[in-house]
Amino acid sequence: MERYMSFEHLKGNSTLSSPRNKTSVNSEYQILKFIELLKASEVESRNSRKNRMKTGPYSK
Amino acid sequence: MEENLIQSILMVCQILNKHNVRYLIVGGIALAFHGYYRVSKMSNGLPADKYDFDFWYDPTYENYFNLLNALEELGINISEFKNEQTPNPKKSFFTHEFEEYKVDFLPEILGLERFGKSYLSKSTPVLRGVEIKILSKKDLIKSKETTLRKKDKEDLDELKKLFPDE
Repeated sequence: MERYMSFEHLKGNSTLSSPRNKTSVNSEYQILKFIELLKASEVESRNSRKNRMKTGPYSK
Repeated sequence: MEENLIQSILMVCQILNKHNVRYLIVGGIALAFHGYYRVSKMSNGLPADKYDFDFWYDPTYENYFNLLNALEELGINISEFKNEQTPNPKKSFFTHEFEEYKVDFLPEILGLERFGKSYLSKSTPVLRGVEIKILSKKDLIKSKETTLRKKDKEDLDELKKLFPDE
């Protein structure tokens, strides 16, 4: 994994000193995709929990 | 398009989980997860150069050292912190820049008193086998209500539009 060499341990100080590039279009796209995947995963697991309740030992 | 960023952040979460780090994703990612996406902003409200992934970690000694172990596995040199004679997890902020994004590990979140309480009500989507722990919508709104930053006020307005009953 590539990374910049700026690792700081800040105590009561949250400033950053290293230079940063503008967020690329690809990064923005990936962030949005990541969030959509998270949301879809949450919906899926919620539905899965509901289905388990419907088919579980206490369901009618 | 490539998925380097997604793979990378999943790996970060996977390693945190492996080391039993108690964390919650907060900030812009939590906000987007709960329905409102905005570009990453700095505390002065200007767009950030890189997207932020903010993690709130439980500032207990045990969890602090679990976090250090996880950061070490990520290839970050943390030896000086591991050998500190009197570490203070409650005052320790960590930040690291990856190529396309940066991560911040924060010991406290304004407006939220106890990590353990918020941890109980977290959202836990599982993506590609990796459990991701995210601050609940209720706690996100609570934290935004107590800060005075302009961007938090704007976030709060958007959240209240989306969830008027919260």
